[in-house]
Amino acid sequence: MERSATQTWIVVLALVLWAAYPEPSIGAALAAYALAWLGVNVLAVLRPRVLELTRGRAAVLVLLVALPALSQATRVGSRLLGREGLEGLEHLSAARIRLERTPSIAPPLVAADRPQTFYVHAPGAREVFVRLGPRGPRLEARALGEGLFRVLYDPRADGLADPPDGDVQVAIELDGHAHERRMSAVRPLPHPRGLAAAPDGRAAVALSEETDEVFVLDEAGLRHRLATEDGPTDARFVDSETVVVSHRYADALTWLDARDGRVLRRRTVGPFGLRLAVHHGASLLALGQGGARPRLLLLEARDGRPRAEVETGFEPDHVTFGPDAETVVVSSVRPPALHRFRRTGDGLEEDRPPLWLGRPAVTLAASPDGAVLVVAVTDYQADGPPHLGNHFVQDQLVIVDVERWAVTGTRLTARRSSRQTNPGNLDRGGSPMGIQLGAGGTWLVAFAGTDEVWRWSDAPDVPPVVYPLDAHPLAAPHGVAALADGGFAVSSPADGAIGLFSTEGALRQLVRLAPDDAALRRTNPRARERRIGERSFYESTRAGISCQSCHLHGGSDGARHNIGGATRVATLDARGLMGTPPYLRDGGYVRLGSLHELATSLYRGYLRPQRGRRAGLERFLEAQPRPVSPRRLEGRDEARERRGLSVFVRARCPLCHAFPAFTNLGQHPVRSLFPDAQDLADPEVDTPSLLGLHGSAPYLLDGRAETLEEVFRVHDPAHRHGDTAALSDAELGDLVHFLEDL
Amino acid sequence: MTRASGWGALVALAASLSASPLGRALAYRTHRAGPHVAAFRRALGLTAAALATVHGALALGTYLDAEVELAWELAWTRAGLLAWLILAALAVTSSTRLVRLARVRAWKPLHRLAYVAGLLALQHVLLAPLASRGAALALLGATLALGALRALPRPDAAPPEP
Repeated sequence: MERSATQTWIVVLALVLWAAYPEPSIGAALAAYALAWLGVNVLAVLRPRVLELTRGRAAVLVLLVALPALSQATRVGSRLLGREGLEGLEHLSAARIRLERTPSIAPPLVAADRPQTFYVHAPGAREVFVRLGPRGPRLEARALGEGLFRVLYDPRADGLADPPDGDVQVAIELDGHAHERRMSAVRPLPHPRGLAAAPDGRAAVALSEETDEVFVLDEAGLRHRLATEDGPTDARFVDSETVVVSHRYADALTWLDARDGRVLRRRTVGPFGLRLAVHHGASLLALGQGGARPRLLLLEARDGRPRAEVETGFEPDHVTFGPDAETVVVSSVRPPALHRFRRTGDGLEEDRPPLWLGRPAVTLAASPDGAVLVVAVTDYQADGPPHLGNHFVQDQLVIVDVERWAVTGTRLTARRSSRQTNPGNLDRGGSPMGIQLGAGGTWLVAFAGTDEVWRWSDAPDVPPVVYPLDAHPLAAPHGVAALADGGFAVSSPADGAIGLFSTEGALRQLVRLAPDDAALRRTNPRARERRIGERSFYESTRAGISCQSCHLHGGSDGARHNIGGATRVATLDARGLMGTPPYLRDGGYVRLGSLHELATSLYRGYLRPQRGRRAGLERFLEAQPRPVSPRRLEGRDEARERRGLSVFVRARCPLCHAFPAFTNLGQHPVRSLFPDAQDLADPEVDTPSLLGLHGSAPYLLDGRAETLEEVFRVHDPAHRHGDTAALSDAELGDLVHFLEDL
Repeated sequence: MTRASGWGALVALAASLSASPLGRALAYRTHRAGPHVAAFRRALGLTAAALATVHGALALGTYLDAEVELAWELAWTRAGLLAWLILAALAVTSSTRLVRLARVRAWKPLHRLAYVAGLLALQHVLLAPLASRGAALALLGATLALGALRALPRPDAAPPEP
């Protein structure tokens, strides 16, 4: 009886002490147990009879104490789990085991819309093949060394995974023996974006990069739905009958007949074609091109014969002509600026210093004469650092005089209307995403955050005419184009539709390019969830902030923001996240859907009710693949890559950046790796995946390293971040080359 | 060295927790009380405590830059610290002489904390950035499987009459 009584008394006393302690923690529970044990021991020595209990009384006593203790535990349970790092442990462990269990493959996402690279970790294997589903393509893996293999996949050439959307049972064959692993396939729906009107306004063109399609519309509706080459990025009318299309993954521009959809010609310009601009008077085309050596090209509009080019040193984003055919204006994300180029013979020169915006242009448009630009930004700071306000976002249009090369005005767009239900809500003018400047000083602006189109005058005191799109399946509109009859067209990538509106703003016709919600609920519930997530991603919250505000189209605005800590940190790229929990720099979020709480708490929630946002946001974000590395299409130096991999292993990088995802999903104390890091809000830093590094500058926990070289040469004085101290310059160069290839 | 001592401590602790059920199973087969189970358990427990001390000292001295506050601040290092504290207390009170000297009456309620130490060690490993979760869960599985042998009747029960 004495044995059971002491244990019972210790447990009872410990529960009472722990319940009285304000902080729910395991340490507090242990301390309570220790104190109770000491107390019971003392009593057992001094007054042993006090501890005597019959079994019945012991049971009653335990029940009396256990019930309130259990109730307390239920109330503090989630706080306790969070404090002890146990929240989502199953999900985290599953992700880590998935990567640890060889052969393993990363990334786990198979996208149907772009070339991809997978890495397989198969130590000791000689020959590796990967089959993407029972009837999917069988792909040969190339050995890189150190048990790492690379698999190149192109859905257009190799075929879609089986199934193309959903869970895929992948077979990794090592020397003839198959090992089953699970991956996720995503086949995006049509996403019409980038509306551009013909010179006579009687037609408009949009494109869907995800489904390799171009859509030609006129006042009557959809004229043509055309298949084009891999990854169309922009489409413009060269004249009223001809459309030119640039491509990201195909290496050509193509010209299409807008009347009958025929392909008229193509010209090889190399991959990573981005945005286009057309100067109708001089019949010239300007093309921004990304890749390892980004450039700006001037071409003949009709056949693409080169006229001038320049290596820009930055990736050109939006492109437009200025007041004449010799002047081209280009925006860039990094740096967040506008650049003016003037043609000099067969070259182009940046003839004025970049016009610093502070945040990158989300979109821009030029007036018909090219003299004025209207640029949408989330903040404008001409000099000095961006505003330090907590999560500072202030959607506005910046007006630029191209000839003077100066900002002549700004207009804030985010505002309150009479429909706001809570004080302080911003419910209009969120996230300007598409702009067209018409003759006579008329602006058409599509707002992806608040689902509306404004017809605005260039006179600053005239209020806009607002055309709400809430009643139509045109959420998060991206493109807008004025039509000759005074109406306009609006494209919604998220809903896969284009709306044609009258001058008064009445919907004349809805062109559906993707199934509606009801059809998706029946045929592809995951795609519907992704759609809900995509809408939520672009939708403005009551604070006037959306995910898109900083994570441009899922990526990063490249800017540094104050997100509640003492210092500003660079926006993370939100693509390629599947299978890499936990999330954010400190690994504070176990699931991507948990980030939804930022919107509901910090940003005061959404204006519109919508069920399933959390799950939808998670599905949408998980379905975003990483951008394609330039060398994937432009060619690799495999010998140098292998040397780089060897250096990577010698420097002990795989200890944390383990194959095949180049992360082991662990979190480290910041000061263990970066002892000189000061004023950081979080004591831990999550190990990021190194896949997709090439386009994700700046680097390290708060974006302190502008280049990969700086990561090792400048920001590792204590040599805790890998064994790189003894690397020669050549070896470091090989290491950086390898990392850029991932 | 840090990781090796950590895994050594974990394996020794798991073995110590498995000693009794394993001893019971062996004795059940032979219908004799488990020989020297207590001695094995004690030795393994002391080994676990010793290796955990080495592991903690190395980690604190190198990885954590001797910042004890940091070790307490992070959930996974705190779990390891708490596990070590328990093992240290059990190591000290594993000496019969010391127990008698200190007039410890409730020895078993204290030493039952070995299971809590095991859970805390598991938490530590599962959250640690450099430890294999697969290996940790495999060790847990083996320990639980051996723990199931506790369901066997006590070895001093006589075999049934034919």
